[in-house]
Amino acid sequence: MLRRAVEPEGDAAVRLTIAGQPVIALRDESVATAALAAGLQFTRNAQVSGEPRAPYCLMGVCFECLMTIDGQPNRQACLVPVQEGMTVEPQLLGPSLGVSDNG
Amino acid sequence: MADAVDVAVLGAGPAGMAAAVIAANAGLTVALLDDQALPGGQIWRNVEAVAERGDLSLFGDDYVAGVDAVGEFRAADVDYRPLTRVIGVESMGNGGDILFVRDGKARRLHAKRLIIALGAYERPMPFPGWTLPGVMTAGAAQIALKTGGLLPERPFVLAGQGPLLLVLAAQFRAAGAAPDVLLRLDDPGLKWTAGRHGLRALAGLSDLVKGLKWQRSLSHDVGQTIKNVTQLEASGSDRLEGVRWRTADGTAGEAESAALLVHDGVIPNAQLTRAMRVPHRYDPAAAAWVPKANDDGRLLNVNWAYVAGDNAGIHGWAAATATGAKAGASAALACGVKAAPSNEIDNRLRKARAVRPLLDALYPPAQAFADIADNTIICRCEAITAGAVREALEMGAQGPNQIKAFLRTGMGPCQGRMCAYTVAMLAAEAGGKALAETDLMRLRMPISPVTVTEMAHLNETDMNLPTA
Amino acid sequence: MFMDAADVIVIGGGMVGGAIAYGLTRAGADTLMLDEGDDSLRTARGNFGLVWVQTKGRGLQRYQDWSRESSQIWMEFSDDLQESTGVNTGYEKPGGLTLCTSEEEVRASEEIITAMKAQAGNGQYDAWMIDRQEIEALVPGVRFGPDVLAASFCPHDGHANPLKLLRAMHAGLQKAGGRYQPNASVVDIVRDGEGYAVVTAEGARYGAAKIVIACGHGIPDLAAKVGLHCPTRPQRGQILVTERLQPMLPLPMGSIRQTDEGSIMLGVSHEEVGFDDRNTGDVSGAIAARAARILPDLANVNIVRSWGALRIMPPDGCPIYDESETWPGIFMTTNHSGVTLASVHAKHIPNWVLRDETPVGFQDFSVKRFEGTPHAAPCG
Repeated sequence: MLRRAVEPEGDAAVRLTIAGQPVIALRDESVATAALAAGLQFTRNAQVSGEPRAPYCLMGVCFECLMTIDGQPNRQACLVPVQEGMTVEPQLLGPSLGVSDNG
Repeated sequence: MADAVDVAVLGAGPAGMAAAVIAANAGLTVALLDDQALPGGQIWRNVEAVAERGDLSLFGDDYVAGVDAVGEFRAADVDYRPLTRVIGVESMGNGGDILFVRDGKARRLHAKRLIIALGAYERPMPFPGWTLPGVMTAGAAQIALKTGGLLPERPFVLAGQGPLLLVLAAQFRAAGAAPDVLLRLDDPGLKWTAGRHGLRALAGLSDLVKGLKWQRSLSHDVGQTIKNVTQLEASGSDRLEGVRWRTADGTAGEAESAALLVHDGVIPNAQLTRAMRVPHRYDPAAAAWVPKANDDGRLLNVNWAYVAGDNAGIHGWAAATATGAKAGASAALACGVKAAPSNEIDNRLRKARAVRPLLDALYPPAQAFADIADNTIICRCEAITAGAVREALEMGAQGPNQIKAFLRTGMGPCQGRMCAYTVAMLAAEAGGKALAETDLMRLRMPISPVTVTEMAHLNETDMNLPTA
Repeated sequence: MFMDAADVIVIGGGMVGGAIAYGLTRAGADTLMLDEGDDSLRTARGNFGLVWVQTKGRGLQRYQDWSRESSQIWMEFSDDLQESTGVNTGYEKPGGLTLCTSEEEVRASEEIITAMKAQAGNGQYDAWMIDRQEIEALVPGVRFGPDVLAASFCPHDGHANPLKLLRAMHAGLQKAGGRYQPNASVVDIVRDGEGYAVVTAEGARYGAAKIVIACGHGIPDLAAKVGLHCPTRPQRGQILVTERLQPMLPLPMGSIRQTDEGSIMLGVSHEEVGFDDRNTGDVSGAIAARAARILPDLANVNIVRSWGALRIMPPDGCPIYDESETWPGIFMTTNHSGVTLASVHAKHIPNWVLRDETPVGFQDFSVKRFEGTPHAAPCG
């Protein structure tokens, strides 16, 4: 739905893992935009109805960008700046008590 | 040691930064809390990095104005707290506490005066298929462009109304990604009936001229422009694949689409003021609920707090810097110090506000979407349709709070940010009432999700709860 | 001139009014339930959802019996509602736990059990202490914090979705031919010929031979107009609600339970703050801290909303059911366990109202029990 016009390089590049794939993101961008730029088609499954959802507002009001970031589930990816070495997974199920979807 | 300041400001957009600068320059202790990582709010999103990248020209003069504003903010003696989520406000004797979450802990910040400048967000525009991945607000795409350098994939459809719609189309065009289809949900013919607002609008003429210039120049690069669209539908199995529309005269159309950006104006972000039980009034011209406040922004029933910027009512960034400065000056005066001269601020404010009535008349909210199809999901979090809400109303649900109790609209994490307006509209429609007589659903702290651990840090008094 | 008339008017469309009106309609009475507007205090929207028997009725055995009977017929009540309305209250009766997180709490729970057994005469009180191992066996796969020492368990305890219950009762009432009139704030009750008339702030007038005043916080004022004294007071309870989680807690605990939607409700406070139903940071922090001590795995779970509600609290915590002597046919019904008692309310109150069949031992619930105490009816 969104594509990167210019690939980040040098100081501006941040390396992280999204849905198991290595991704190069732009420094200071959010995990949500990094995920979309990497080609991820959805950030989560809707909790009640189960169908895939992706960001609608990218500014923290729609709550569709809920993802598991560094093991912590249901974080708003649009409010989290990318960090080197981060691990990001789509939020497929509701979180379990104390156990992330990554096991 | 207690965390306390003279003035707390919420929001690092034009209004918040202006308020913080004025109060800090007057010698008061000021803290500014914002949930983003960098200052600028939405309109000046990531302006420092974009300036560094050399991409400012993509976004026009309004954006460039952010460079100086952010620079002035950075230079002022303000305790700037980014990545900080406000969850509530409690009034006390002399001022009150702002409850916020930062670095894994919920905490209290005491302030004598509070300036709430949490801005605005895009009016949710529900239509069949709007929850498909690939449908987003035009503002979201703008954020993606400013922060990630991302562009919409083609075929790209842009649909909506309002003065910002054309600004956005021009920005995408300047970035090399003009929309393939532009669906205008407004009627360009209405422009001429807005004449009676013309005289007052002269004060803000430059903004108006800008808008009209964009309007003319765009037509060269957009693939297709369809006017008077009254119905919209997105389709696809797991994500957006196509868009269908119908115009006022019944003509149908469709296009393939990988990105559908929608825009139906913006509404004040009133979650915090509503949770504080500030009364709000419905402004029909803006089709939005705004907090009730005095001329200087002081909230009607919270006499130590002010609201400024688009949070107080949509008037754009120039008015926001003026209302922010005004609130900052008033707060400073209340704390016993004099800030900047007031007539300068008032003049800026008058000029910026003058163009608003004309714009409102030119671009009323999309009326077509007042008639929402039954099968449209209107509460995204809980997947509740307009039809379900209408059924509950028929069964006697009195309004948004009872509908919430019966159907769970507003109980998801977004707390009604996406559905409160729609539910109120449906309730008003069923009761034959005007929206001005309808209240939005009740809100409470925390206005944003907080983890159990974060919240536990508020237990400073180690209060012992009885078991049952 | 009446806008409407009925056999019975029920004032209040909450947990108590809803159950009674539903029961009356099913019993064949032409019933009109009056309710306020969207923004009224509405304790009915602030229920934890417990259908609870343990610890009920200390000082009033009738209340323990009433609660136990309620738990015994709740499933049938829920099934009936589902059959007629399609709404499932989600009622389950896996038993319930009151957790003890200190030696003091253990002693307090033991003491209640001893006292309730003694009060029951025949020694029958179905709650007993269980140790930590037994708790873990009842709630497998869940890590309890070291503070959790023991619990009192009662097999009659269970829980339901209170909002679905309310919705089901409203729907059930209307499906059975009962009438619901919202936006009707009753301000007066007057005699009218052989019967009575109810007058609303909106200017409407409704007539009936019998009236049940079941409007929670509004009862004291209205009851006073018809010779009834209602010494209830508001008591605030705050609850935090988490995001939806995978099902993990099969048993409700006194102040922590997982709903049928997956979210976990964390509570609860008992605050004497008048009619202030706001949430506060202090109590939210205390609830979260306690929840994290009891279930450490809740640490990173998001609290997505909260609510505060004002319990309608009688002086001894037990229900008050009474009929006016000077205005016969006008009843008042008040308590703070509207969810638990919904089943017996629907079953027995209609007979009391329509046929003068006072449920067994009901005189124990009369407001006269406060005579000689500071909560007695004022003289004159």
